[in-house]
Amino acid sequence: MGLLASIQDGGRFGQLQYGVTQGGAMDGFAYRLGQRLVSNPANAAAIEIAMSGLHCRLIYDATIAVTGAPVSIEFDGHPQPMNSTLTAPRGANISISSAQKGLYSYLSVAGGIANPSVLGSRSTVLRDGIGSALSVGDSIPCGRPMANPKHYRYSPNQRGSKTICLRYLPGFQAPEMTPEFSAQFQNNHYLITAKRDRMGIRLSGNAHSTGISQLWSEATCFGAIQIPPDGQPIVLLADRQTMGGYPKIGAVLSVDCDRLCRAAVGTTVQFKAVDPTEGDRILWLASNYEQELRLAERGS
Amino acid sequence: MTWGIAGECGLRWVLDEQPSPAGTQRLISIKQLCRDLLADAWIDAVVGYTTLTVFIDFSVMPRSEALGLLSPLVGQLKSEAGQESVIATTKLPVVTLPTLYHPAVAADLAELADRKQLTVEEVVDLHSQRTYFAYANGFAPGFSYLGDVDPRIAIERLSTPRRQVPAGSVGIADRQTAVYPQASPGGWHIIGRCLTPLFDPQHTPPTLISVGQWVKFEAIDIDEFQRQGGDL
Repeated sequence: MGLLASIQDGGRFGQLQYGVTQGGAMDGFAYRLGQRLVSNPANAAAIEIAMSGLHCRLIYDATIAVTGAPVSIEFDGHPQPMNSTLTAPRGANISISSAQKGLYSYLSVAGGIANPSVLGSRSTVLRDGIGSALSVGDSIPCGRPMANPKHYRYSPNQRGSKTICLRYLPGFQAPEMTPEFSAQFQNNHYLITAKRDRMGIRLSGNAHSTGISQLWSEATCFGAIQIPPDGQPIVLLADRQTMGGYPKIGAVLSVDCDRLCRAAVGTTVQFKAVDPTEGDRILWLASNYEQELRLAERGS
Repeated sequence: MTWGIAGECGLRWVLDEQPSPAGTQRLISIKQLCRDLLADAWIDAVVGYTTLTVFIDFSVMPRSEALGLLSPLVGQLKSEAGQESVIATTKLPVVTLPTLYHPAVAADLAELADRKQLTVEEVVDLHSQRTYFAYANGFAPGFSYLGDVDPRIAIERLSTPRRQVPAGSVGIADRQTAVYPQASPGGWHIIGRCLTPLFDPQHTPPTLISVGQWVKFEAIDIDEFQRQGGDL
C-alpha cells in the first residue's frame, strides 16, 4: 500500500488511547515548507504523493506549491519549479511526475485541502478506515485561500548521502538488552530495505538477539526502533500500530525520521544514542532553524 | 513501579507485576492525575497491560518541569496504597456483546473444540459465561484486549495470520479475547461474530469499550443474528 496519493496534514493527536494511529505527512519538513509557500496555516492538509505521480485539472484558479522528493511539474505542458509558490488558472492541467529519487512529495494548495476532518485531523489512514486513497476521477475540495498570497521560493540545501546517522533516545528496555546487542547496535551498519510504507521502515544488518522475549503489549511511539526476534530493526512511523509487544531499544528523533523517509532503498544507516537533554536541544534547534528559514520573496 | 523514556515526547510507567485489574486501575489513576497536572502540555496517554505511556508537549512544558511534577506520582500512589480513594474504581456499566457462535461465521470454532477435546457447545459456554476485563485499547481503532479467557479454551495464535478477517470477528489468542472492529489482518482463532459497532469517530469517546471496563459475550441464535442485520 506504499504507492499512492493521499491527503495528509500534521497528524492526528490524542487518539492513540482509542487505538487510532497518528498518521500525517511522512516528511514533516517538506510538508510544512509547502504550507508556508502557499501561506497556509501550519496544519493545513496537502496531498502526499508517494512515487506514483499525480495528474489533476483545476476547477478554480489556485496557488500551489510542490515540495519534497524531486519531481518534474508541468502546467499544460510548461515546466514549473519545485519549492516555489505557483499560480495556475482554472482549467489548467497540472502534471506531477513520479519521484526520481526519494519517496514523498507534497502538493500544497492555498486554502488547504478541505476534506472532512475526523477526530481532529484530515489525514487519511487506510488501515484505520479513515479517508481513502485518491483515485482517478476524484474531485478534491479546497478551502478559501488568503486574498493575496505572497510568492516565495526556497532553495533546498540537501545532498543525497549514502550513509545517514539516526540519533535516538534510548528507551525503557535498552538497559535490559544483552550487552552484546547494545554494544553492536551503534556499531552496526544497517541498510534500508524495500519493505517500507507509512507504518514503518524495515532495516537489515547483522542480527543480534536482544535477549528479551515478547512483552506485554504497550504503546508504540513515533520513531520507535522495534527489534523483532529476527534481530532486524523496524523504525515505526506515522501509521504504526498503536500497541506492540516487541522490545524497542529507543526512538529515533522526529527530525531524523524525516531524513530516513527521504533516503533511498539501500542507503546505509547508523544509529547514535543521545540523552534526553541533547535530544531536546536538537529538536529545539531544528524547530528554530525551520521557523527562521528565509524564503526568498518573488515578484508575482 | 518505575518509569522511563518513550521517545522524544513520551514518558512510560511500568508496573513491576503481572497484569491484573487492580494494576490497570492504578495506571488509570496515574493517567488521570497526569492529565490534570500537565494541562495544556498533555497530548495523549495509552494504558498497556502493565504500562502507562504519557505523551507530553515539551514545547508547552519543559521536560524538567514535567518530570518534577510527575515523578512524585508513583510515591504518592504507593504511600496511600490500600486507600480506595486514590485508586479509581470503575463505575462504567458492563458492556454486553451479542455474539453468534456458529461455524458459518467462525472459521476456527470447530477446530478449537476438536483440539481442546470439547464440544462446540462447551466452548461457547466457557467463552460466554465469563465477564472479561478490558486491559488495553489498541492495535486498531476500537480493538480492546479482553481477559482472562478460561484456560480450557486458551489457544496460541495461528502460525500464519489470515490476510483478512471480517469485521466483528470474535477471536482468542492465549488467554485474551477480542472483537476485530474492522476487517483487518488477524492471527487470532475466530470463534464467533458480533455486530455491535465498537468504534464511531463521531462519538465521544469513539470506542464502545473503555480500558478498565468489564465485558460479557451473550450467545445469540441465527434468527437474532439475522434480525440484527447479519449475513451468513
